[in-house]
Amino acid sequence: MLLALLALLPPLSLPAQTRTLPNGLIVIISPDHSAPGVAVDLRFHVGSKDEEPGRTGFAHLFEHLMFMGARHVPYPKFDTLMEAAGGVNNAFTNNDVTNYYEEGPKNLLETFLWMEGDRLATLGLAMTQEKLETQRKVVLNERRQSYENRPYGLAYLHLEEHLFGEGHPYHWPVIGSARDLEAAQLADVTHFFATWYVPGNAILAVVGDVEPEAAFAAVEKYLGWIDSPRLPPRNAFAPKPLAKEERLQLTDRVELPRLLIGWQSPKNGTQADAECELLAAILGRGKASRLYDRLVHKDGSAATVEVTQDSREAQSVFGINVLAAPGHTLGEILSAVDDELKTFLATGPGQAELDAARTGVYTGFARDLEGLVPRAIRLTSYQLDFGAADSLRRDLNRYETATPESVRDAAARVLGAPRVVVEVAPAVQR
Amino acid sequence: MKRLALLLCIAACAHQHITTQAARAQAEEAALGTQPVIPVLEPSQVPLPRVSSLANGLVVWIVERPGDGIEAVRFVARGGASADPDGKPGTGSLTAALMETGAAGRSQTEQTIAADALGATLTVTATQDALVVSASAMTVFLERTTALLADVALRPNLSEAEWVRVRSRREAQLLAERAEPVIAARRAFRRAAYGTGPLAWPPEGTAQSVKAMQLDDVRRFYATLAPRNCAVIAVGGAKAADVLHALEQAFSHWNAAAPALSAPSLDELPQAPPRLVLVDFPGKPQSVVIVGQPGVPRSSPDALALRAFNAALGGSFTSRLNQNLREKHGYSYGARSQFVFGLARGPFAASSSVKTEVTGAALGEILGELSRIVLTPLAPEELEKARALLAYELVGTLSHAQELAEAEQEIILGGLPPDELRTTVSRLQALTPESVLAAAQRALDPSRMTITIAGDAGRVMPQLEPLHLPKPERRDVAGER
Repeated sequence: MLLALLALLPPLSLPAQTRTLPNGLIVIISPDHSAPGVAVDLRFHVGSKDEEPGRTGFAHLFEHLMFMGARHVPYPKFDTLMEAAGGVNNAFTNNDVTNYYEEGPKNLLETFLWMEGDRLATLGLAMTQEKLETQRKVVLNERRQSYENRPYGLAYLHLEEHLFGEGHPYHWPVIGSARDLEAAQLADVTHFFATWYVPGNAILAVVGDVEPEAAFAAVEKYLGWIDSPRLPPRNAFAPKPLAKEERLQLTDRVELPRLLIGWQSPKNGTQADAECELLAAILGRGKASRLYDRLVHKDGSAATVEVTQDSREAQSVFGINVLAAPGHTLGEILSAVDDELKTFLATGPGQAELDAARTGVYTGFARDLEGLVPRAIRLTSYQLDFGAADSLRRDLNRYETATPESVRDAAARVLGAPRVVVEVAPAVQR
Repeated sequence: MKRLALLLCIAACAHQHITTQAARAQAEEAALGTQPVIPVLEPSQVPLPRVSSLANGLVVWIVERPGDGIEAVRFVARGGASADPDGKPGTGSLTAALMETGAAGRSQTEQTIAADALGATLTVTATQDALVVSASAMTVFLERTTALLADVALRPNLSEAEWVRVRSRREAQLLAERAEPVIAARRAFRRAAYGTGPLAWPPEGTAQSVKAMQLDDVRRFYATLAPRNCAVIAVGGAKAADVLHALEQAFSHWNAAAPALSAPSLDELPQAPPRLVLVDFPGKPQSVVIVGQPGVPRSSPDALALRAFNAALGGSFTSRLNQNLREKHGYSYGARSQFVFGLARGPFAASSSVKTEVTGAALGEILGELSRIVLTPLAPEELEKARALLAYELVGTLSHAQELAEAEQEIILGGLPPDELRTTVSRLQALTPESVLAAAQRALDPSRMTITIAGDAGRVMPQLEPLHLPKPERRDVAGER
């Protein structure tokens, strides 16, 4: 019955044509004429892992500077020109990449590419101390809003610092330390730009109501002429397992205790990475999931539970995040979690449990593919992670070939290794 | 030779450098020297919902779209948090939470397993104006998903055992939220600006109301659901005839009788809401600042003009508030404003999280922007931007099944016509800077707005002196005095 349900799902598709320009820029075009919109995603293969000591948070600070104007589109025209015609944009930085995207009516395609070409070619020439100061303040405010002023915010940063030891490029947080952000110099900015923001380190995707040949030609016109210097060697990645479990006890201005558990897990794009994602769904997604059912429903010891596989280029993070219910201790919760993990590892998931997780992942893909920007981001990430933009089938295949045994084995490898446990307790009120 | 060779190389290399530079400049000029023309686009066709009703009076809106992707189905019961009985805020929201814990005799876990097997999301929420059961799944599972949704909507277990759990989870949530300055500021603002009307209270309820709530309260709330107060919306790739068939199977036997709901009062608002409200969070590095007042209902003829006005004020990256607080002054990561339209006068609010040390200065800038923008018409380019952004926002809504279903839900609740989305672009074109200003002046009075600050009171208070505001009213993290 359940297998029959899986068989009913229609195939998902994300067509892609890819070309590499002579300067090394990889260009992906994915036409879709169902709505008169277009999205562009430009992914640079540089993230916080590529930062230098004493300059943490720099990749993300730089992301902000990319909006501060270049030679032909001076500040604040990047945003004003775009919004004037109905376009919107944003960007994100993580440990591995920095991603810039814009979306709007299809008549903005050339404008988007012109602006991307301008900032890629001339941003460094137009950089000033004043621009740096403006965005340094904004980023420090972002750090306050996302971490310092947010309940439990700093605990997440501590977890990763301990999960990836000193010297590992994931040891420091993407947002960086306030001290390093204060110390960033104009020379750092121009150097970072000249080093990493080059066509040979970038992937560009265009998705939407476009004709592929015209789109390729436009990308070539605006970005194809830019030179691409050679890339420097990258920070080394030597996966370094934890020697033993690490426990951190923190306090915060909160009302209820929170438990965070983190494990190192398999890197993005691998079979085991997909199995960890299925594991996360089985343990923590929805009211039938194992940890929800045990902690929130049966025991009543937790108010919320969340389980995640945070996939990354070198190594990922498998995390369990539990908010305690009033009157319950983190010790009690941790032993119930361990109990459930032990049960799971003994028998693995049931076939129906795994099928439901898979159908959930599949339907999640379908929801995601409704949006132009998520599609463009998926294409550039497939290009980077799988070496081919046209990898939706290959990606889905990882979930389809998982078996109860393979998920249990992946779980045993990940959860059997030492972990970091962070306990956040309410600070004693004044 | 060595030396000469070296000299030659220097000369040659320098020459090459110059030609390279010249060539680069030429290439740059050719590629980037001219701003591309933005061609004019024909407005695209917006699909109209097919409106019908079942024999029992249940209203049905179906939007058919090409493709076999996601189908969104929503059951909407008029009422929601605004229908919470006096003194019992949270009733609608707890009813919604309890409806998620099992239906048609299936336990919560069994119910969830049935939905999970379809990859379906199935949630129940209480918005301000409605109780909404919402499902989404692949179109191929339309019939099965609709059947599960109907079980939740029409045959929830509402059991004693689950009620105890739901209530204690809600108590935990409210307790945890006491640590969140953003939530505290929002609650204090609502209580101050709306006094004692339905919009004054948090839809989730308060610690006291939740503690006192009984299963009977929830069952009574649920009993107000009847076909005449409800609608079903379906958006997706399924053929309208198939959708209608599935809905008939699932809903046509439903014949609950219930009284017609009275329309919420639009004018039960405090005569003189406090000007300044403060919630103390000692030691916090940022203050959450909200400045606002009751706005207009969704049905107001000014609603679209106010959305355009808001795009210019604080609804876009290049809006006045965001440019001022984030880019010009570096006080904040971002500043925004919003109208929440509803059946009653939902709130208008401008808000930002600002660095504690500059709270006074940042508030001064927010108040300055608000008072300036209601004095003179928007610049023509600001209105043009607002039109373009709102028109493209509609394109985005149309491509997401759940978002479109939610948009249609608001249209039904607001009593607006089925072609509301289709006429949006032409109505945007008809706006002028003067008509937008007039709408803003009718809706907003910055001199009487309620200012709410959640932050370190000891450090913030001295900064407020230059603003000559009256003495603040202190409220706790739950918004209570």
